[in-house]
Amino acid sequence: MIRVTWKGLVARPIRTALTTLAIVVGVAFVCAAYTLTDTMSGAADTLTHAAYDGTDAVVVTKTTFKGSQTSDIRAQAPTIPASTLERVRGARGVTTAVGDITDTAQVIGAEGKPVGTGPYFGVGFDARTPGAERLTPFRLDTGRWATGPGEVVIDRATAEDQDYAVGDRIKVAARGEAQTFTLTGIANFAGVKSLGKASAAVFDLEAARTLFAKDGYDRILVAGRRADIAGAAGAGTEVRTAAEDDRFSFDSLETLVNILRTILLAFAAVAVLVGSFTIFNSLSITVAQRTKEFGLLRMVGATRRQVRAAVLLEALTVGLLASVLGIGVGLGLAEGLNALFTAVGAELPTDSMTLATRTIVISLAVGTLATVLAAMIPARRATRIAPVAALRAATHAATPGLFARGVRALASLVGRPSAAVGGAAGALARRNAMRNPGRTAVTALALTIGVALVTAVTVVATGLENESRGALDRRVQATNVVTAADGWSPIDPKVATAIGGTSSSIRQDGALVFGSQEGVNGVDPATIGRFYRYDFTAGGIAADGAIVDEGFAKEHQLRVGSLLSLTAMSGNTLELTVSGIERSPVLDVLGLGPITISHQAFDATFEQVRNRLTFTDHDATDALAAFPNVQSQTKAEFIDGQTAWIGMILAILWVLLALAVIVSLFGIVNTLVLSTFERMRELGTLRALGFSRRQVRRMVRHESVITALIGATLGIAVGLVLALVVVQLLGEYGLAFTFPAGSLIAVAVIAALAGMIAATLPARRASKIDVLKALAYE
Amino acid sequence: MTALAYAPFDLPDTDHVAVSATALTRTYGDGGSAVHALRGVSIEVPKGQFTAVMGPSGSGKSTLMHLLAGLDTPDAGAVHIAGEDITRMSDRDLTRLRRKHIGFVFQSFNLLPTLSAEENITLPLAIAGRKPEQDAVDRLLDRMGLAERRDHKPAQLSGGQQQRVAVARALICSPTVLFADEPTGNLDSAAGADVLDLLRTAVDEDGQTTVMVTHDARAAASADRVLFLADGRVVADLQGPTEDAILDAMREAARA
Ligand SMILES: Nc1ncnc2c1ncn2[C@@H]1O[C@H](COP(=O)(O)OP(=O)(O)OP(=O)(O)O)[C@@H](O)[C@H]1O
Ligand SMILES: [Mg+2]
Repeated sequence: MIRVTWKGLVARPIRTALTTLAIVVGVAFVCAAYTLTDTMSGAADTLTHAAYDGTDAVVVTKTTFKGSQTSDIRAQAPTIPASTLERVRGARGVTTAVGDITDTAQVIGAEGKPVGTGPYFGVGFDARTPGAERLTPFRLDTGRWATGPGEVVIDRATAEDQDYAVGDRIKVAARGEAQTFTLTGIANFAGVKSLGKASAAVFDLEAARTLFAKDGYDRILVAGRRADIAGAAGAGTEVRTAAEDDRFSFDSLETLVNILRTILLAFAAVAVLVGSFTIFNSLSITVAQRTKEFGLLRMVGATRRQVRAAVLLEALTVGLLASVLGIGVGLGLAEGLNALFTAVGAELPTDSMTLATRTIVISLAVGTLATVLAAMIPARRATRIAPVAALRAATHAATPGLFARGVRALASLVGRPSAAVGGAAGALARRNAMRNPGRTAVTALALTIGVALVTAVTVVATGLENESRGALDRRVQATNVVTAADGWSPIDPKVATAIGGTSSSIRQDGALVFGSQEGVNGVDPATIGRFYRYDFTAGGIAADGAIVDEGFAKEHQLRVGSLLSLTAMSGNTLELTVSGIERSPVLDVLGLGPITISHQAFDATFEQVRNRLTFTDHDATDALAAFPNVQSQTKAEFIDGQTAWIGMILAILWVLLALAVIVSLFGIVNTLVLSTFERMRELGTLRALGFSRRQVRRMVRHESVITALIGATLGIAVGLVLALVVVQLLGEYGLAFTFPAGSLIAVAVIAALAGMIAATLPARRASKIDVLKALAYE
Repeated sequence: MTALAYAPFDLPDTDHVAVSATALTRTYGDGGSAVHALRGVSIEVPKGQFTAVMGPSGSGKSTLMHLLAGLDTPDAGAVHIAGEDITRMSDRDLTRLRRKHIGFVFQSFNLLPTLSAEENITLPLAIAGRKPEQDAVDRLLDRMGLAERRDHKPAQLSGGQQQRVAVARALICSPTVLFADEPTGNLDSAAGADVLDLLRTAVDEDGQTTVMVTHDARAAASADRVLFLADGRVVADLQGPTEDAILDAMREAARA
């Protein structure tokens, strides 16, 4: 039996190759998902160790809650006073202790814009204390540390990107206006040159305190015996490990990598599913075509079990082969995806690719199992072949079920244009697509899955984008909006003053509310109404009250007049009454969070005052010349900028789903090739009747296009239903169903083109047949 | 004018000759295992003639027909159809030739299973991008006794009916020559006789030049002329044959 199987595979190399390829892509996706994310988290791990290992303890001011690193809105922690540092230094067992500031500062490039896309580390480092180098992840590459005001050290990637050299005068924006510094040195971060698109500016510690307007330090970094420190630091402080403290937020990197892994695995699942369909289909056709062969095997004494074993063994071989290939392709795919993320500016730090044993095992298991499972039904069918089948001419196609009949009707319909433009070739193609609706259906279904997902994702994303843009358009009444250059970083309140004229700012920080960290906004009740409109369902804005989001109010049973208590990280508490409840848009594109209070209450509660954005009624670009990390946008530019990420995510999803569509194309190629074998006699007859080679090619191409269009039509229908369900679920948040006609037409056109491409090889093979041999073909 | 008087290297007489073959040889394989299917065959089929080709199994009948129809290329010699040398034609020219000049009837019918009887019959027109004349199609369907069955798929037709569809399909374009390879081989004698009648009628009424390979002396007797092949050579050429004459010739050929 093994010999029979092996010979079968080798004798039909094209079919074997196509069947194999169908599952290769799925396995490659699985392998790439693990490899890419393993590599990324490996890099993050390496960074974490390199950055924090030299530090034995971190002393910070005790906070009422630990600011979540991964939350959209980062609460600001209180500083720790210089006096504590002196006490820690005096403690037994402490070798070195230095103050540290880790904040945000943008290195300004030659074009006057911040370099990179963030995070922008702005660090205060005490280079004068002996042994301090042990406590920082920065390693000097050239030059020396900054030791006074007006000096700065930057990371090597940023320096190389901008051709900055030691001695240059460069601009760096910390708080307030950008200032000119002398570049005294260039440093690597924990031994790696680049941190993705991040940048770092390392100042002298005391200079940084002035720059960032801090009373004390953000933390105290200690080398020494951890046990001895707590007592010395005193009450109101907390001792952590550097990794717990995680001042560079590597934790959020890990979270991001986990999300990425989940998404990629979801696509892998789609690709494997689509691949299984293809395997199922081609094995079904193969079994039907080999009825005689199996009948003959039974006639010479093979048992049912042996026949089943022959089919399953074929699947197992193909599955294993595909899995091994898939792992290889997966490594390439991981590199490709990494390049894609880099291209769209979502670069994450990577080393060379890490292929874990776990990845190999899972990839092999997934590929092999999927193939063997897909082979189960065809294998059972093969066992039902009676020995006498060897004597009968091949008859197939049982009466089609309801679904198959539906597909036949659809084939008839979408085949109309082919019949109209393709002449005899088009008409025959339409009939061919209709003759075995079950097969056409399964071939098309593989494409349906991908197209359905594309459609659903597009409809929902378009809906979200429209709704978000609409919501911003209604809410933002300002003609101009000032934000950080990246659109989301905090900006100094000085900016609002510099703008001149009338303006109103939204501040932002985080506080503990009902036991969890929430974003809190500060607005000026007197002026905000002119620039930003709230959609109140109850109450309104008040100088001493709070506006809460409707969903948040519902969750915590808040009404106008209810009491609300906020606790800042420093422990400051604020008691407020709810003055208004507002219905916020389905997507919080501005990242504002659920609670809005007055500037007055805000400024009294939080450590430092930072704005998220400033609304104004004039173009402030000129007034902002001194703030290169801040931009003034028109309302339209602002809306575009704040919603651009939806389009970017959609683009990434399209690319990933395109791979699923490619898998289904292998299925179409496979079915066409197999059908060509099956219809050899007909091809010969047609050629003898005067069918030209070109007509043969056209016929195959039209059949392929019809099949692809069936898949696309079904996919669009299923996708629209899926999208309707999602929209229905989110309807109460104002998400509306948008019918992206343009995109859907594009999907159908792409499907038709893809069908043509899929037909290239089968069409060539079909047109090259030897007429005489084809006529003699059994 | 007889075929025997024909000088092989003269220019073919295009006014009266539908198909001519000159010194055709065809060898399959090479070396010791080479099979000489044809060893120099020259024939000429005048327009309007019904020619039967007979001979023992393996004598080269199908090979000859394939060469005459341009489905295969001879090792040496030439074939002319309607005055054109087809032996060195490109695939495109051959396709054009088949559309215009050649009709086929196969032993195993070879109808397209997805098309109805009528669609099968008009298929050659569709292939050539021509509109069928409904009158002509109706007449043909009537003549073939298929008027009732025009919308049936091949699977719903008997063997005899299928072969009649195939004959109609071959006649629809009024080809210069109709080739039939054992058209009655898969049919019982009654159905076979029907098909032969139809072929004969086409020759008599429309002057349809026809070349038919057959093993059946009775079938051959309905032809105007019978060529006997043995071992790749023409060994006899009977004009206006009777069944007895054919049986005699067959015995003769078998001995050769
Ligand atoms: N494709 C081929 N390859 C090798 N040999 C071939 C091929 N086709 C035919 N032959 C050989 O050429 C010879 C003539 O074959 P051909 O088919 O012309 O005979 P035929 O007279 O039609 O026989 P039958 O009455 O059995 O149909 C035979 O010996 C046959 O085996
Ligand atoms: Mg023969």
